[in-house]
Amino acid sequence: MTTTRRAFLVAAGTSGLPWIAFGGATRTSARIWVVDEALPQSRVLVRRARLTNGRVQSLSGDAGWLWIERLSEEAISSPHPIGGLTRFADAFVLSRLGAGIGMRTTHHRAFDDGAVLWTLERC
Amino acid sequence: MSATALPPGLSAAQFRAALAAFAAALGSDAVSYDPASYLDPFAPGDALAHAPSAVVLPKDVEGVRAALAVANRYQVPLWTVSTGRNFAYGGAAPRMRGCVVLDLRRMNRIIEIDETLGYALVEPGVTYYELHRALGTPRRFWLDPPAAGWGSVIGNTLERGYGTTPYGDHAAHQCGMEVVLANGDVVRTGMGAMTSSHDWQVFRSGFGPSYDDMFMQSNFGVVTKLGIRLMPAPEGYMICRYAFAREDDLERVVDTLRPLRMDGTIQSNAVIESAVRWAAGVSTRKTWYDGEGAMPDDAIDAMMRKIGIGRWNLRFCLYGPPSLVKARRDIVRARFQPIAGATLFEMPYRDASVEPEGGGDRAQVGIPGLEAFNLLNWRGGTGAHIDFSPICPPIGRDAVKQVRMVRERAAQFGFDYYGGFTAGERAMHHIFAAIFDRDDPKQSHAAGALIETLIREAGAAGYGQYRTHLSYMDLAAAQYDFNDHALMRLSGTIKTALDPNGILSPGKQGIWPAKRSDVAKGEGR
Repeated sequence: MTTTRRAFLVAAGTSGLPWIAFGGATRTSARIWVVDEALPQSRVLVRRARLTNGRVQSLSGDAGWLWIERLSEEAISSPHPIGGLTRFADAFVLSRLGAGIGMRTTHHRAFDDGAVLWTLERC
Repeated sequence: MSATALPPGLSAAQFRAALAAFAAALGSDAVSYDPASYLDPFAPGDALAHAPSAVVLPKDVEGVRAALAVANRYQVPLWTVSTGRNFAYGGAAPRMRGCVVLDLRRMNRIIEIDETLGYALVEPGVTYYELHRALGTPRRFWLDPPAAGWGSVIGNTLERGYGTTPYGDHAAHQCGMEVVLANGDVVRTGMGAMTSSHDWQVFRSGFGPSYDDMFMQSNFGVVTKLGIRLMPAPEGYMICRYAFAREDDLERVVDTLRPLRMDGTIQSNAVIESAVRWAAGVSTRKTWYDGEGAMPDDAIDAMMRKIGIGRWNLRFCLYGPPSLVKARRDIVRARFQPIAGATLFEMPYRDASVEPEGGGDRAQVGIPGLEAFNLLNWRGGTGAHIDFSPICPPIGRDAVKQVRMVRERAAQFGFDYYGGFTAGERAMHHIFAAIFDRDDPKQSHAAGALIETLIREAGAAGYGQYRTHLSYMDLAAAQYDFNDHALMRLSGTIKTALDPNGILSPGKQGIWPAKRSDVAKGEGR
């Protein structure tokens, strides 16, 4: 667990994550983080997101329904990216759904345990 | 292979002129010159081998007709997709490199939902999610979703997809089409052929020959509207699962299940899953085994014990009022009782308004989802899969024969047996997924080589595919060889008559227009 956490922190520091890329709390506060809280790395991300006024959307079931009921409207109406820490399959599903409305996914980091850190933003 | 693809036979200048004509006819917002997002994300080799050249997105039937007129004029081959999310079989990518994708996703109207007669009439861009939501809450009618709920209702039905409610045979529940032929003529099938018809979706046959099936898995027209029957919501349901302890239980499971499906005791498609297929929905391979090659038996046994599943697992759902459901359950239990070690897990009977939680369970009560994609996590890395999909008679010894053949070959190529059967009333779909890390060229190549080998060997053993990835369409079609491929000759005759310029989906399901026979040869046909 310690190694994974360290790896995550390293990735967070080097991957152009939004709180680094956008700096100020005003901009990052509009960001949604989709987080699979069963992943060990999620605790760090959730804590950090809250510190920067980011909103955390927990993902525990079907990513498709999450997109349809919560994320798609936000993605259409907001210019801000959506970030995520999920398993690969959920990242794949959300990236494809995002692509359907002209969004592009960047995978910042894949962890040994299958977790993927990604952002989804307008092209 | 270059990322820039041109339609075969067209120069860059001719293609530019064609694109300008598409834009003039449909509007500039209907033409995309950046087709990268249409590449197959699960390609078992070079995705660029099936790269499109551009994308045209009509928003109505007139737009489709206009696109066909331009395609005919400039001899541009089109590849029709509804939403293009048919991953594992090629997604939105065309069979023939250089085709222009005719993407119908902007035609996304739910034209009608009839809650008296129980049907919906939709356009190609309507997904299972969207139609399900449109049915409202509480649902008076259920829509049967396939494994991936983001797919098009029309696309999945035309590809003969299936689900796990009593309306799980999607093609069988199609009830009337509108089709634009290659020459731009608009045809409605069945009662829809009457301009003033009040019963287009009620009586599929109409008067005279019926052509509906001709437009399924074919390249004879562009389906722009389709009726789909909706299932009246039952009073309630009971989800059941059996776990069978031994590998060689499969034969008896299939032979016990067959009469229950045939006489309707079990009303919907029942799913028989291997241990790995079940486990891949809830865990990763690494949790149980981190070595090279297929998972060994002892690792599978340990995994089964830990998760609480069998070597084979049977899922089905019973529908109706409590007394009928319990009567069905008792019959099923009595029939499977002689199989030693068979364990039945049944959820409590629920009112139809109560939604189950897991993806597979939700699909059995008509709720679309995408959790089936969890299999992408199994192998790690950038997960992908392609499928081997033979039809199997619902006979135990055939099922065992197919499984043995696939399992042994899969192991030789380094893959686990991720497989199972969906048992209909009269046939079973045997689906084996070769799961691989797309970023690992060795695994990707092995997945493709495995599927190709399996199609050949299954064909030699008398088992044909119901569906296949783009790369293997010719090979799968070639197995249908009665009377020196008479069926393909018939398809070729129809193709030439309906689409003399060969503009519609060349190579789809192995059907190549005569005009493009040179390309077909180059494609390895």
